[in-house]
Amino acid sequence: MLATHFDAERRYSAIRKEALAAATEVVQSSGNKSMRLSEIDSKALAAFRSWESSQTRIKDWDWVEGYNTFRFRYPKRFEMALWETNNLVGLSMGRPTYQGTALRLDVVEASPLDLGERSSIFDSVLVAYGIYARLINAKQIRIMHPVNKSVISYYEKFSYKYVSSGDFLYREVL
Amino acid sequence: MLGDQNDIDKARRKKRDRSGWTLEEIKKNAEKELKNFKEISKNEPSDLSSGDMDKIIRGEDDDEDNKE
Repeated sequence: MLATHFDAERRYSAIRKEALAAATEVVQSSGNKSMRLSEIDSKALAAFRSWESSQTRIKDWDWVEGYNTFRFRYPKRFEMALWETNNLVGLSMGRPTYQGTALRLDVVEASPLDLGERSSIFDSVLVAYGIYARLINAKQIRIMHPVNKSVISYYEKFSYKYVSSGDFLYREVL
Repeated sequence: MLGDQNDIDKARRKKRDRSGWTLEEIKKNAEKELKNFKEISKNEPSDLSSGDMDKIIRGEDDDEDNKE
């Protein structure tokens, strides 16, 4: 690993932690005391393994391989594991674009409901991305590669706009 | 909404581009956003997922800064 890569990892890790702590504070103060956001660590990846027994996942993503690849390539990434009363209820990772003008939400997945009830997660996810975007001064958040029309329509309710040529939705950070 | 050119948006854009925000300002803004988001997220798809993990694992890059 190059020294510059290592240095970026160290600097952005501090910003990630700050964003996740602030997001947890905001989410909990809104009344959802049992929700907590953390980085994706070995505990989160171990908890993810239980999702693989679900019958309702629409994608059979391997978060262990995917996250390890992503972490290695992108030291400026944003990432989160969402926990509700110590159950893993969501995972997400994204990164700034190369020019740093936008923050991409590359992947998000909520825990399958056939494995247990949970709260909605996307409101907390977006709040955390908004905080990280502002901390790194990104001017836009992009939700990359929505998997179907149902999620596009859902994201549009949060004032995101679909760009078919790039297959993403965006919203300005203000 | 995106693309709004009202005075508040203009002022916030100016502040963002000139000096950025303090953590306290960011948290206050996040609180406001979450209030709006909570109502919308009541209709969250039960199998919420999004993205392309295969592209990530294959190392394919699709970064396009200036697409929008």
